[in-house]
Amino acid sequence: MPLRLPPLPLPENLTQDLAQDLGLPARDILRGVRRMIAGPLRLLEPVGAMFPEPVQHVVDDLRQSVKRGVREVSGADAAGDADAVAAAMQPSVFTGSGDAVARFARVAYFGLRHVLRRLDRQDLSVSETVAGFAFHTALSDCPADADAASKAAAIAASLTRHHVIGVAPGTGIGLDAVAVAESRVAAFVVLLWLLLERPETEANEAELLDLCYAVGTAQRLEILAAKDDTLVLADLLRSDARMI
Amino acid sequence: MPAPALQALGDADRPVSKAIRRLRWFARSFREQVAQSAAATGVQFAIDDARTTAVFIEWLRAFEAQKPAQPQDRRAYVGFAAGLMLRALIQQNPLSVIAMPAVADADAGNPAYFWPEGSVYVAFCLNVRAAVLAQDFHEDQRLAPELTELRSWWSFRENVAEDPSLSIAFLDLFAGEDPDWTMADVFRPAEARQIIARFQASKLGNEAV
Repeated sequence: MPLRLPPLPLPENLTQDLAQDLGLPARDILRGVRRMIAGPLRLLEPVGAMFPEPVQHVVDDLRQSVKRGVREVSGADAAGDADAVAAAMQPSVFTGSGDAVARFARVAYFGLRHVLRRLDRQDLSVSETVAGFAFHTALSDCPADADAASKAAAIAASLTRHHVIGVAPGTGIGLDAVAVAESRVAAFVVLLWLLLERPETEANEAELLDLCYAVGTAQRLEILAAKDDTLVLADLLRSDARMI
Repeated sequence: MPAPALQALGDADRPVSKAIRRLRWFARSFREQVAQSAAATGVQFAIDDARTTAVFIEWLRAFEAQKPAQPQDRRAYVGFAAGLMLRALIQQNPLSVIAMPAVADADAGNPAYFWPEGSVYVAFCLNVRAAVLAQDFHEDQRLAPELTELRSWWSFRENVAEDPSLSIAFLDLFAGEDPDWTMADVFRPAEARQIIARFQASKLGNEAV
């Protein structure tokens, strides 16, 4: 019997239409494809030579067209990274207005991938779609007049609760305790990065993110002890943002 | 306003005394110090970023814990805060030497080769101290001859290995200030120290009578 995954826990007040408009699921699917085809592509290389000449051409053509597809997905991701960095410069993301969900989702994807690279956990995936949902849910539950640190704390807790990082993001399937802890720290780091005051001159976003990662790592025990307590998380985020 | 020896501190959009309390400028200026020291001595270092962050967090907490409320104590606190920074650097030790220059190029009497990491930490703290004194108090930092004497560095290295808080007193010594060797990790403005010294002297005098 094939394994059936539980459905993604979508917030009731966020429609599937909105998610489709944002194009988030499409990018998640493309990234999933990229991850899945890397192995089969390598397998095809020696196998191609085993076939007779006409079939060899077909296999080679197939391999080349798949490689082109991978390059296009990677190119789109690189452009997405640049967009994410640009979006991070806009503190208005915490107001939740306009295209804030889409902007946050891209920024969160960029930031979380960056942190996972630092943690050497590239085996884990990040979902832009889940990031958008988690952001929307957290802001819906937050008082409108809450300060940016309180909203950031609610979003960080929501990202972890909705499993934005995972083997199958959106579900806790296959996640061990270490991965859950790393996911919690990663969410904290990204929200801290978004909270930072930025100079008028162009900031080096990767450097700022690395500083947040270093602080998050140094405060790992405090972050994990706070769990989903948004008051404690907000205090930590507020004082850390002032310090960086 | 005089330019700080470390460019990163000069580039900050706020006074050095405030910029150094932000991790981004602390980390940049520390990296710059390491590069400057490496260029001057030929010693190559590896920087542990996680430890550099731990130094900063430890230092900032210690800095805030003893920050004086009285404006007249601020000048004295600049030196003490630089000493706290040196203590955190020595304790966390974020540098490691990955290559020393050829023996012929290294002057055995130079503290930079005797204790390369310690030499960078001292240079960094003195540079930060000098920048704050120049900017906030229009004062030039005086450096004592002990800073370049190998004998002092033997004592410095040996003592701080046993008690890292003594690095606060040693930095005062190198900066030509009067070190507090007895309670080095407690901030006591010079005036308070003089009162205590007079009290202790009079007590000794009474006991002698």
